Amino acid sequence: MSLIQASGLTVSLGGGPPVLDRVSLSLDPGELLGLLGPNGAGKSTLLRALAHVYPPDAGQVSLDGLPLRWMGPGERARRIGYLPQAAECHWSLPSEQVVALGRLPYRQAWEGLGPGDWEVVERAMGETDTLDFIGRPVDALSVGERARVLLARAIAGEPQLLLTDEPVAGLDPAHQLEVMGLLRRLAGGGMAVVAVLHDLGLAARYCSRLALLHRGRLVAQGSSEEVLSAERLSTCFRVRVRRIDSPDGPIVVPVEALGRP
Amino acid sequence: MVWPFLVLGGLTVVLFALSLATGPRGAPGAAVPDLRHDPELLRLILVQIRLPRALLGVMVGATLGLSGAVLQGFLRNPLAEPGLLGASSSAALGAVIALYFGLSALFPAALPLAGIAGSALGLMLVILLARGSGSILTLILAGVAVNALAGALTALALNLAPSPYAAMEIVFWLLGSLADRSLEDVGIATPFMLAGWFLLLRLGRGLDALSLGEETARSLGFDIPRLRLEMVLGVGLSVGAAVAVAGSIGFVGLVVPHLLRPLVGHRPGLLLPASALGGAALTLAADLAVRWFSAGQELKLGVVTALVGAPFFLYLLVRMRRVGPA
Repeated sequence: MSLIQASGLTVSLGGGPPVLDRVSLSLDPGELLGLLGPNGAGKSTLLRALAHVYPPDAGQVSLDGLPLRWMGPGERARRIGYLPQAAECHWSLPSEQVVALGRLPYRQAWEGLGPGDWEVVERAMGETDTLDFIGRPVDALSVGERARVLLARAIAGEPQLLLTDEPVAGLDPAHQLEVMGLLRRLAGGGMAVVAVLHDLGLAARYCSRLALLHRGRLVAQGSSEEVLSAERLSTCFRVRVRRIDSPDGPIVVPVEALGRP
Repeated sequence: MVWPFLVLGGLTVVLFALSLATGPRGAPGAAVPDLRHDPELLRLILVQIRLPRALLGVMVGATLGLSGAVLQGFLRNPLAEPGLLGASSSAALGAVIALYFGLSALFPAALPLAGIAGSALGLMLVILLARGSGSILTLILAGVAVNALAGALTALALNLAPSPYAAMEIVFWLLGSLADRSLEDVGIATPFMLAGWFLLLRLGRGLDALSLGEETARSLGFDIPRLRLEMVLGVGLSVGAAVAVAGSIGFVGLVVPHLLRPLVGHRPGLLLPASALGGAALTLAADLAVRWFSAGQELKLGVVTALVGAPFFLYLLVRMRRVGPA
């Protein structure tokens, strides 16, 4: 029995063709799943359905065999961490307070954070290399720095399942590698991690498994060799890709945009 | 994080005492009774005239500050204000109707009750208009629509007023004031305000989560539609009762959360109790200023807060356009 079992997830927005069409997926602890697909393929919609942020119209997601819809909202929030695309903080909060928001599901109303919570917050900030930002307003940080603080917020909830939507968007190359390395480490520590990625190369190198969405349907999943085949990339992404197997792992680079088929 | 609350609480207590110790100025030539030799008159003035005024200053101010902080936190917009949801204007309409049909002359409780009924109806309309769509824009537009409707009906009442005196009475009441209120007014407004505060103060955690946006707040286990309903009910009850007893006193809900936000580390949840205290202090101070600086015709409190608040609103708008929202 897998940790996460999603079956037949379907989401239709406004009665049009389904944005997500009968997607089934399972995930084990220790896995880092790279979710790929062109713009509009339904990646973010799938992530929201998995997080139960917007429950699917049909199908269901189970965690440890228990359907998410039966779970209380607090329980769900403690088990699932969700980092939306282009996450933002609307007020000029100090960075450590932003990370501490990840502990909200563990606290009752009127209850402040305990020393244990602050330890978790500090560890999350250490893992994301954001300890230097303590005391600094989050809106005074650069885009990349802020993205790491918000990732620390998601980790601070100590979830079993971490869902991140484009976690490396806006990061410089060094921090992209660090964040991917961190996600792999978190998976190594027993978390199940899903990352929506646009960089095929990063996905191929860091993820233990890839899943490819195209027009709301899951068209392939498996290892990078299986999923990133030349034929599939040309139909889904309309690109020609050069793949080089190097000592550093596979290097996958799109080299030519193809016209519509 | 304790000292801002101690300072604000202390300030409120001092201003409350000052409000009790301050009578109206002006009325040149009027005989001023010597209160030192007439303890019975002193007691009467303190309990029947000044105590309700000071109590209402605290309660109305706390309501406006708290509601402003809740709305700004929920809408993630530092320009939000209790007037935004149509609560103030529809409460005013209810009270105007009571004045217009002479209900308030028949029995004094009619004015506050009509105000509360008006704000409840206006808010219900806002909820119905915004129901089903989760969007903040729809909520704001529903508030705008209800504001326009309430404003039009109030204008109609003024237009059709049977005598210039009736129109004057309505206009004066609309301007907003804490003068000449009775302990009975306080008693009628109190339960509604307390119920509203209870609903609003519980929203702190949800507002903290909402600073990361609606999706993240949902993923942290918060039910956003329920939060919105509790907010609308809480603002409706407390602001409805406040407007009913004191008329419309604008901009307290805008200025106070904005000034206090840096003191609480920009945390939306902590800002709620701080803004309640700050709103009480600011309203008491403004009401003192009204008594100290008026000569002859006493200035209306709502006029003073608008004179200070409207330029502040403009300043915020200009600054937001230059540097983006705070």
